[in-house]
Amino acid sequence: MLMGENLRIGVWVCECGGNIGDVVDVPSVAKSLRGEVAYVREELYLCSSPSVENIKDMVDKRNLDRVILACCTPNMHWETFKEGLEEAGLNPALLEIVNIREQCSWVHKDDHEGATRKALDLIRGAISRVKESVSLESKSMDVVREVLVIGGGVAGITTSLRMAESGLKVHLVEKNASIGGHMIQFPKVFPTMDCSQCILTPKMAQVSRNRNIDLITYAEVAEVTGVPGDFKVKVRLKRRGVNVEDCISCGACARVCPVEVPDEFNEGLSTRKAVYMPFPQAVPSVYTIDFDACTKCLKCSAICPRKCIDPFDQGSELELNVGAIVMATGFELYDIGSLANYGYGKYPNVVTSLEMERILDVNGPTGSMVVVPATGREAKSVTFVLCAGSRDTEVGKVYCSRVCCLYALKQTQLLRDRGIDVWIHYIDIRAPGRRYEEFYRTTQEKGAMFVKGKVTEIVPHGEQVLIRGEDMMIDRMVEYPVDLVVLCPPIVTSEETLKLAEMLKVPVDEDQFILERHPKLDPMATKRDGIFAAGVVVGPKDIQSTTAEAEGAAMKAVNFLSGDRVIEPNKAYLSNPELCDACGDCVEACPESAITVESGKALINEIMCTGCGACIPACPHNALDQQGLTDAQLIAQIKGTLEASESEIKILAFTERQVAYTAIDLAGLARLSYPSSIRIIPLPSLARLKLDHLLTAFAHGADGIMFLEAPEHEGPYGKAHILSEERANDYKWELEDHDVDSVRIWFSRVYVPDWRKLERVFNTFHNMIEDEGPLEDEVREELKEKLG
Amino acid sequence: MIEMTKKEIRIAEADSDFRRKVLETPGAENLMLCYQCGTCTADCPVAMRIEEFRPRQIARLVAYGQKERLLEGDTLWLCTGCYTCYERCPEQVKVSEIISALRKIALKEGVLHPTFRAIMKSIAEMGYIYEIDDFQNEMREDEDLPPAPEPDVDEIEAIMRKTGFLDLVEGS
Repeated sequence: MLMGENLRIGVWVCECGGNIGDVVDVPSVAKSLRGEVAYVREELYLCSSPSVENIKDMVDKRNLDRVILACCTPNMHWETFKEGLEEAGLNPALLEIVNIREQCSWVHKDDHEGATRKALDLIRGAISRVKESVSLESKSMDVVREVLVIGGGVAGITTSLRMAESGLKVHLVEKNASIGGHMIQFPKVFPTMDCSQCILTPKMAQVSRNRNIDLITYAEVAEVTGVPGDFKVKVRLKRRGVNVEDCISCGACARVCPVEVPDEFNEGLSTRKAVYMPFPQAVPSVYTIDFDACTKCLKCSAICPRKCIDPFDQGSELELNVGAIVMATGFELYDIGSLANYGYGKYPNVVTSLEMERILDVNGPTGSMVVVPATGREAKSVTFVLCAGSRDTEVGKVYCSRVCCLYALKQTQLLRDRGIDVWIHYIDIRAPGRRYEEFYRTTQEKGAMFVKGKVTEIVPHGEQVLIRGEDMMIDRMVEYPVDLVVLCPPIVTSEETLKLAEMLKVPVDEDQFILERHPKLDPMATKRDGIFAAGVVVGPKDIQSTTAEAEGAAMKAVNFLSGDRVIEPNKAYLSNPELCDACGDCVEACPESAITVESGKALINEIMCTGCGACIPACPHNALDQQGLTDAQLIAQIKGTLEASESEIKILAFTERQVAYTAIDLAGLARLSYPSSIRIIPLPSLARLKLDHLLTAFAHGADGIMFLEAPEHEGPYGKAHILSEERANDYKWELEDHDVDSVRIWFSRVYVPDWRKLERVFNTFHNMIEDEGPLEDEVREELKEKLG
Repeated sequence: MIEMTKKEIRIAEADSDFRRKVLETPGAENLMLCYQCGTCTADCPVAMRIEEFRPRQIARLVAYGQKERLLEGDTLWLCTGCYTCYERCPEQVKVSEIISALRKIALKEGVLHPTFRAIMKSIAEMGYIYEIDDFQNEMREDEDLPPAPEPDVDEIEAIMRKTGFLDLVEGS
């Protein structure tokens, strides 16, 4: 391929009717460029079909191998031009669009000379840059069309069924002996008062029947390696002691088993045998030996008619190869033992809401009799304590657990139907959601007593307990005896899930729920490609929202695996492997954990690299570079923009390409006005900038440099947009060592709706630099010498 | 007046009976739907002038079955029966009807505010809540109204005696 000065570059300059032409002297710009490049042409409307055809024609006829289009923002017509040129056989990496409308003619309408000079400078910057450009091709990677679903509750079940339906092979891994999750423990669900088991059991059966679902229960994910699209997963099958294929669930084993332990399905309110089936509708319908309780008496293996019991089972390991993973590991209840004032574990009358679910179940530990479980005493009155540890920054969790109000209402209705007096102490009743307010009203109609104000204390009172709290509505203390108290603690992420998240390299938020790719716009994707999440693992939510998310996560995974994965040519790469000494600084800097050190060299995973550029300045040896945005390209663009410029004050504004750049375009659209000294150079994130880039800019004519970065959390590259500010601060002080005053560097975060502010920002900085005066020539010369 | 003290509410067995009694009164059935939004109080022309009169709190105290607190003092008798709260309650709790129910219970318990007693007595004795004299009739004449009709006091008294109304007024 031709390089440097032998290139045949074509430049088109658009008048955009008068939008550009009335301000920028387009003929003079074109005239100046003639002789510098192979072909120059003015157009009235560059985006019109005849013009696009003309570009294609000329590329062909004049044998052009680089194209520069000076026109409106690339946000307008990039796709049109790119496609046109691809048809003419030009690689998109060899096309540059120079924004001389939104960022030039529209914002300098009273400064024709300045705008014309700026347009010329920007085009010259692009010419220099494009001389360093090379063709780039995107790659594609085969994906494994199988999915791992972790967790067999309602979220895992729903998402598995949906993906299996679309033809994907699904491996559903559940830690317990049966799928069903928490939902199978509930007797009824709000707001429909459906029988929970009646609606979930058929779905569980569908899972076991579906040929596309490989159900792996009593197992846990032990290790995950590989990349999105091609994960290698080790699954550890726990010691089960029963051959799942052969067991016919006759129950002979459990009948002879002499060991009784608390039954976790009934929240410990009853007992089960050491060999057990968690509940009658269990899927798979097989028995399991609890080896922590088993005394190895071998009575079960002796009596088993199918001879399918192996009391010496050591468990085993299984390897899976999947393209995507869905996390659906659900929740557990916050340990309310730490709330001493409520006396859970101390007074038999105090139970958790999950225990109450089991008490209300016809097949529960009390046969649905509402009694104090520990004493068997019948309960005629029940008090609910909402927010028992939620919305509490002191001992519990700061967030609202979102489902407690509704399940408390549900349990209240079931209790009121049995004639039991119910008190509900609340801070706020939160019932937003379809049919939820109506559900609240129905509960009121059934005659429950709602008390605004948190219960402060529960104290023993004979066989009852005494509730103390305030009724804020009438500003009075309330005190009364009650038979049974139900605490509604927050739902939290289990330790096991946190370990799993760490294994999957998926970050969690401050509340320890899985962090969404974007909480509003991409809520079922995690921060890592190919790993999705649904249900309570992403935050407290009801069954309705959980199934909706499970359907959504299925769609995400199906989409992700629907075709080959395209890997855009914008990746960081080790350009000078011999310089890499495996120091690991780039590993630290990468927001995506895409870099590892393998056999003494940095290895950048092309699939995980998003192209933010943050790693490149981190390298102390200049061993890294970026496709399509090489140091050579960037430095050529900086020099090209500045060197031939005739402007008095020259300011380079490095601008984050998506958010900040859009805001600057909007300022143009609104015809705001700022000095023509401002020249914008877009970058993916400003963490891409090295000190050398700034030194080069000052050496070759810049008088001031702006960092216009995306907001910390709204930018497309996460941590990179935070790193850039730290770097900008460091560079300021380092520039002082090179006799460049730190006042010549400006850092701003630009929010899209703040475009109006840009006028002031640009004017302020321009005035500051004007007061400061152009950088002294001696300083520039020294910098040039230092840079070599 | 109800003493708006910060006295603790201790719930006794009898309290829920009292609540049930109010709930059984036609018009007061929706008491437990009250979610304490305060519309009734904000709309009330009496509450606007008298700080101790808070229809919202009356509803709440009934829910707690606080009979004694409700029946003592002036509070129950301050309602003018304008029915604004009845019209505007988003949950159709009908506080005005609850207050009527409470007054009926109070009456049966022998609790009757002296002003009400005087008014009821004057109806029994002269058929009007206050005396109609020449001055009143002159005013009527100015408005082209005929003189106020002469009530049949004996008949009124007979009805009141028969219905037990007079016993309630006299007996307490």
